Amino acid sequence: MEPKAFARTISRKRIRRKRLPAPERAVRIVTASLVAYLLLAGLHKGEFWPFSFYPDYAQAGSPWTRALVRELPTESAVLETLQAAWPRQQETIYSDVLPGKPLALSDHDLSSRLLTQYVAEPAWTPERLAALAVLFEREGLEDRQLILFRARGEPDGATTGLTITPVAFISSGGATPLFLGATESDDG
Amino acid sequence: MSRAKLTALIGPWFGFGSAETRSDRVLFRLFEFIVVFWVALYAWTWASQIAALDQSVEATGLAQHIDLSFLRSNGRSWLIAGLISVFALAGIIRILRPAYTAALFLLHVQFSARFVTPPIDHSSHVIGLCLLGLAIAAIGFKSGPNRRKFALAFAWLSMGFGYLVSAATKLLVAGPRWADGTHLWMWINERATDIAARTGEFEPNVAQQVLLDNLWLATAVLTVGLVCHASGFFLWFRQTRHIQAAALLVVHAGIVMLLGTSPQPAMWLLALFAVPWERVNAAFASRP
Repeated sequence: MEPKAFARTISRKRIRRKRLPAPERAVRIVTASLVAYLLLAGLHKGEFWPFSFYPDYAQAGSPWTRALVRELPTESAVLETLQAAWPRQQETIYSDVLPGKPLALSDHDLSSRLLTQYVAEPAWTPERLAALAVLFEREGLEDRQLILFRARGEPDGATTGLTITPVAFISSGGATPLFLGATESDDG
Repeated sequence: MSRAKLTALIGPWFGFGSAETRSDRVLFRLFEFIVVFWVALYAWTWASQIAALDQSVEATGLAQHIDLSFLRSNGRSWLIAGLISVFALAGIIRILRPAYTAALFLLHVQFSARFVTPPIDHSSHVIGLCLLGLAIAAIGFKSGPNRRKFALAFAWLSMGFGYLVSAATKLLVAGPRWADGTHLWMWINERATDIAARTGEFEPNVAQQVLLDNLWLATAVLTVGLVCHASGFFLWFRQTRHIQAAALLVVHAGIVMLLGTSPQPAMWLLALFAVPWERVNAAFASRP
């Protein structure tokens, strides 16, 4: 296309855009935004901020796992009690049925997300236990004796479906595996 | 449907030709202030979260195409938060037309760099969609009244659509059983465990305890929540907007009470839209 003709075309387009009435422009923008919303969220696992299909709360009843840490007064007595008589299922985290007293993770700058990754794995390895022990080597926790619990929520139709299982004992001597999960042994 | 018919059908809804009242301007100023306030607050909150990240996160948005982990070091996330705040300020005092667009893009970068599940604060999506409306309005409409009318109309459209999509996703993924009360029990327990792990203590409040004791009530609560989301399109109509906004405000208040979250920014906007502005306008007009 000749440069002059090209310039005229561009100029005409500009004039046309300028003259587009506000309602028509608004309808076009909204339509384009709707298409962008559906395409961008659809092509990015339902999440392209600020466009979202809000998939997380749609997963109703999905099992979840979290880590809880409690502090024990003495090592041997409580551990023996745990080994001998840990109930298969605790349905509440509010009451005093769990041994020891709770350790607030935020007070010690411990990441609950990171700890959840440790308890979500089904089996311990020496490396994972060593890494767990290192995680608790911090000021204020030097001589503490701690138990790491796995809290798991699963829908069972009748109860609130909360199961709490002790998975590791942590002290200045390192981390020791406890039950590898009541569910695994139940299934076995 | 042809473009002309669509324009004829929807075009008048924006009300571009009608005169702008004093209450319209008050409504817009409050709306814009709320959006800009939360944009700035999200920018700094997300900056601190990005700086504290010590592991890889699930990639979303732009992060699926570009590695954004470089934002975690050398205070880069704070620099972006500062830029967003400056752009938001430039947008509200109208010294730079693309300012809101720049703020929106940088906030998307921040969201993509800190995305973690759970929990996601959905209010940020509402604020983001409203910012998108303000950004488009600033670029696409020169006259003040048209810009304000479009930004508000876009907010109502996108919020209504967002709630509608949220309900549709729930029904598509889980079906009507989404409203099963045991699901609410699981969410309450999940949040309770989070709080107990973080702070060392958790006691259920009265509402949580009542719902944990009564499955039928938990099911009823989820059903009402789902219906309120599905009827989000009532935000599109002037006659029903304030009632729908009030209903959604109650739903959000319920989420705060039952899941122990802090009050969500979307509640500010819903509270604003729950005001029957038609009556406020009539009151303004009747004053001498």
